Amino acid sequence: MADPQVEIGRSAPAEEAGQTSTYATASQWQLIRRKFRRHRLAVVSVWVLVLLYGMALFAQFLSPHDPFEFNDKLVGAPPMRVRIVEDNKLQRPFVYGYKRTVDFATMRRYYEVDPETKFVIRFFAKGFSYELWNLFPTDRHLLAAEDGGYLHLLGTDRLGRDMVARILYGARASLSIGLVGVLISFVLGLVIGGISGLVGGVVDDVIQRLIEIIRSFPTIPLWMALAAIVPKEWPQLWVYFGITIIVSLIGWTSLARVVRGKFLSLRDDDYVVAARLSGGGNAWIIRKHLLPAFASHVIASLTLAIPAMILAETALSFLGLGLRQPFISWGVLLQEAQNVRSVALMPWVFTPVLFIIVTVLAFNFVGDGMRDAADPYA
Amino acid sequence: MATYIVRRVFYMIPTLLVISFLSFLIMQAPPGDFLTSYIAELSASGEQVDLELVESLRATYGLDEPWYVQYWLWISRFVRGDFGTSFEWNVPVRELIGQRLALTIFISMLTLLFTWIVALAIGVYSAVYQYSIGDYIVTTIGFLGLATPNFMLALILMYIAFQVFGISVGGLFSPDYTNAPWTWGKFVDLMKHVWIPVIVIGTAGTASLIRVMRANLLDELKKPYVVTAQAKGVPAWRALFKYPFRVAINPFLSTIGWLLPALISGDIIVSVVLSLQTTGPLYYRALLSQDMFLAGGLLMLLAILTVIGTLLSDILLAWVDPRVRYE
Amino acid sequence: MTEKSAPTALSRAEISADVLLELKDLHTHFHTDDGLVRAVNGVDLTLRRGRTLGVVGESGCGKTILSRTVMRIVPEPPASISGHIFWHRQNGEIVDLATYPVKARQLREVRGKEISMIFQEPMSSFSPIHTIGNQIAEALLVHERVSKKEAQERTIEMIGMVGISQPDKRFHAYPFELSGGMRQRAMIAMALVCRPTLLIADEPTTALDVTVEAAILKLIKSLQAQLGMTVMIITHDLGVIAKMADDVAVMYLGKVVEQGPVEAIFDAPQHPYTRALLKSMPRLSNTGSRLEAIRGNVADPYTVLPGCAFFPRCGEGEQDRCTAAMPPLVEVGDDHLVRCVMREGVAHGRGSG
Ligand SMILES: Nc1ncnc2c1ncn2[C@@H]1O[C@H](COP(=O)(O)OP(=O)(O)OP(=O)(O)O)[C@@H](O)[C@H]1O
Ligand SMILES: [Mg+2]
Repeated sequence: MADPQVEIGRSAPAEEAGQTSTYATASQWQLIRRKFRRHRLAVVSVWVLVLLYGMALFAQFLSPHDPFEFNDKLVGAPPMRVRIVEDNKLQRPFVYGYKRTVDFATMRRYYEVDPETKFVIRFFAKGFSYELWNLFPTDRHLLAAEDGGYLHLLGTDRLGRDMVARILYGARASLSIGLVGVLISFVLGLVIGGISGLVGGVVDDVIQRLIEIIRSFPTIPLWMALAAIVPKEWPQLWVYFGITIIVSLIGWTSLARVVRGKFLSLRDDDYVVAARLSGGGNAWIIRKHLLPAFASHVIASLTLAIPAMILAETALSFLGLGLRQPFISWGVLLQEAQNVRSVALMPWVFTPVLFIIVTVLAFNFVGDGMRDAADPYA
Repeated sequence: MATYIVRRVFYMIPTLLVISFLSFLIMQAPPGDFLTSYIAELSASGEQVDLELVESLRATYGLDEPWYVQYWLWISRFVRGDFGTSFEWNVPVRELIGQRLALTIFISMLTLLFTWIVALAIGVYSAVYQYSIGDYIVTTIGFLGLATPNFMLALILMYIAFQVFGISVGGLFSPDYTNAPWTWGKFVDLMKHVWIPVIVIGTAGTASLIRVMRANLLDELKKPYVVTAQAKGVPAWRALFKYPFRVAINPFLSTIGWLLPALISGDIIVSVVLSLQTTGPLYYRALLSQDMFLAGGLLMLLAILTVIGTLLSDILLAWVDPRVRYE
Repeated sequence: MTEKSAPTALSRAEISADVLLELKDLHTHFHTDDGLVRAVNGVDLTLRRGRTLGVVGESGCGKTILSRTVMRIVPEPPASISGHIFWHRQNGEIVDLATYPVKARQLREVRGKEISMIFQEPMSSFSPIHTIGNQIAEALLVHERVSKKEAQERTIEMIGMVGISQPDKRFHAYPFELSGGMRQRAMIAMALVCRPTLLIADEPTTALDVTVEAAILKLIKSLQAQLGMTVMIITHDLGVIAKMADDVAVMYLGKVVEQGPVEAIFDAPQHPYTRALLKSMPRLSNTGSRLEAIRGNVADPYTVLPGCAFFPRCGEGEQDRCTAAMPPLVEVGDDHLVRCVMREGVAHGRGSG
């Protein structure tokens, strides 16, 4: 029987349709990548993240000073400015030291630039010795002041420790907690969400209710309670993992929802049905159709979950319930900045916040870009 | 509508059960029972241990019984409003919580209001004027708000308030009023102090709500029924507010579900920084000193608060959206 | 006069008092990120009072945008509109709807009151959270000084007129409580509640099944007779045209390539595209033979070649003549115009007027 509403012009020959479908699936990843590239902020953010993680990875090499070394001559000193001109002549980059005066009435220290002490900056110079990734013992650093000099480009903290070094070392904990945490969330979310989506029925109902309940808990109090349980005697590394697990214990719920939702919607998505009708096997369908769309959605949700974890670690550590001194993380560094007094007197101890903000923003933008790109046809 | 409400209330029961269970679990989590650690702490600080009191507590809370008996004893008292005794303060938890919980609720509601009004206005603006300079500015500020840790914002605002307005913030009342009974003056004093926590707690939520509202409205503005309204000759503002705005606001209402927990979370951490007289610092101290009755009770109450808030928002949603009501 | 010349003269309109709407060299161009889309690209068209104009053409040829341009409710992205939309009011006044800014009060007064529209998707064209009655009555409340009560009464009357049972009860129904056919009837009620002079129906039945389609078409026809409206019906189904239209305009890539009385178009189609369209339509008389699809696809709207846009798909044309310049509209019969160089020879009445 003839369709009474023949769509003129849409009746492309059948074999042509078959060809375009294979072409389309082959290029789905490409489509996603292309669409992602159009999100310029996201692309820039990817590079920012690469930079940040690179900093964490090479923290030891990049630090001009040992982050645990107290410089009792420069306690709470402001950032030093890099100069290249002296007496109107171009010079190798250098910094001036500080002259300290103490107001004994208020016990405030004042630092004044002291042109008498001058520290030339050397590249690949010798500094404190370390083992890069616990593998390669060396004492080379990207930047360091000449022998016996100081190079505090972001100032020093209350105890005279170099902020650059501390921020770099802190990046290792703060940035990795996001990744490890999201990995744990990912496994939990994938397993639980997958079961929920695939099994369905009562199991699905129960899991969904459970997720709803967990989500109705205010997270910070819950995190705080869990973090408070972590025994104080634990070694630092254990505490680190303990906090990571705690932080990820909440994160998995949203991921589980995404996974489940995707399973449900993909199961009866038009193009999957079409693939099945055209005779594709199950494995083929999953690989060609489900996986790219699914993976990009999951990656997007993962990316968006990381900043929440980083902020959670920061908050917990800030409150003294998370990581603790002498372990360094950005949150731990901010413990120094607990009151208005420090904002007013030593604003540079807040620089870790800038790093947190940049990291969180970058992850958000990348996640947004991914999410948009995950629907290449939208 | 009535059946919907009844069903939703009914739905709450398992939620509350699980919540109570989790809270109990957390109370029990520190090694040893809390009485033992209490005694250990007292002995360590060289204080007299009232053995009689300890024994009576042990019996009251069934500490020698299996966990489910303990749970039952705790929860059955909790339901009757007996939240146990704080070991640190040695007074009933209920007395400690009273006014602080009220202040937490007050601040949370105020913040919710603030969040909604600001997010609605800005969200509508940036959807209607999509890609305008204003839209970009708002989006940028929104992102910054999302990315800045709460406590940091608190410190910065405190600093600004101090430098610019000369207000010494911190706390919710001026020293004169802190312990004074409630009067109009005290209320005014409270309102003078409350804006900093409200802004600080509200920022992150506002930022994400703006994005929700903007996205919702943009979606709705593309819907054919907007064209239908235009085709009827409805004026532009009416075509915006009667239709897409009304539809876009529904998913917005349902954001209470996660907004409320976030607000209470925010309240906890911000009030520690700003030393507000809300539940936050109390809870924080209770956790640090492992005063588990107090901590568990507070956790449970906070969770209940959010559940009730979510229930209210669901009812509100059903009231404005026939699709939910009929479902 | 064969060639539609500069659209300054209102001569035709002055001559025939029965003209209702006159489109002259109408263009609607979208400025998209990917380039300029010439959705409507030089349309000349006349609608006469009380008659039904059918607009046909393949998907994407600009039918919807044309009708939306008439009401000046063109969707985003920003579009530039040029040309004239002469609207002849009941009182003899002639206004050019193309000259007003989109938000002008004058346009709002025309929309929904003098020109109404029914849309393709009856579901999404209603707000999901307002009752049908509320949405229908709104047109009355906006355009006429009526009380709420009166608006409700007239709305209920209208709901009854479009064949919905229990109108006073349906007044309080939400869109999701009605079936597709019911919703389309409600939509018609919404369009007609102010008794407009022109009803534009953009594929009013595409989303409906065949039996409902017939009922809806019948309803539109009977209401047209009852209310004395002019109807412009848009479709890509020639069957609908045959049932409904007095006049036909065939569109291809933003242009009207042939227009004329329905008999002339069906019996003596002049443009190769019209002929191809007719061949692709199933008819009782040729059930045995194969339906023919038109070769190729509608060209993409971004690229514009000189000359006739249909030439690449046309089997009859001659390279030189067809691609030289856009063919003018030539009159090949009474009110029968075609835009094809191959017909210029057979045109009658050349130079007259
Ligand atoms: N909002 C828009 N932005 C850009 N281009 C558009 C827009 N709407 C329509 N177009 C383009 O204008 C052309 C005409 O579209 P229109 O919707 O009028 O076609 P149509 O004839 O109604 O098709 P259909 O039969 O599918 O409804 C198409 O090429 C379409 O891609
Ligand atoms: Mg159309």
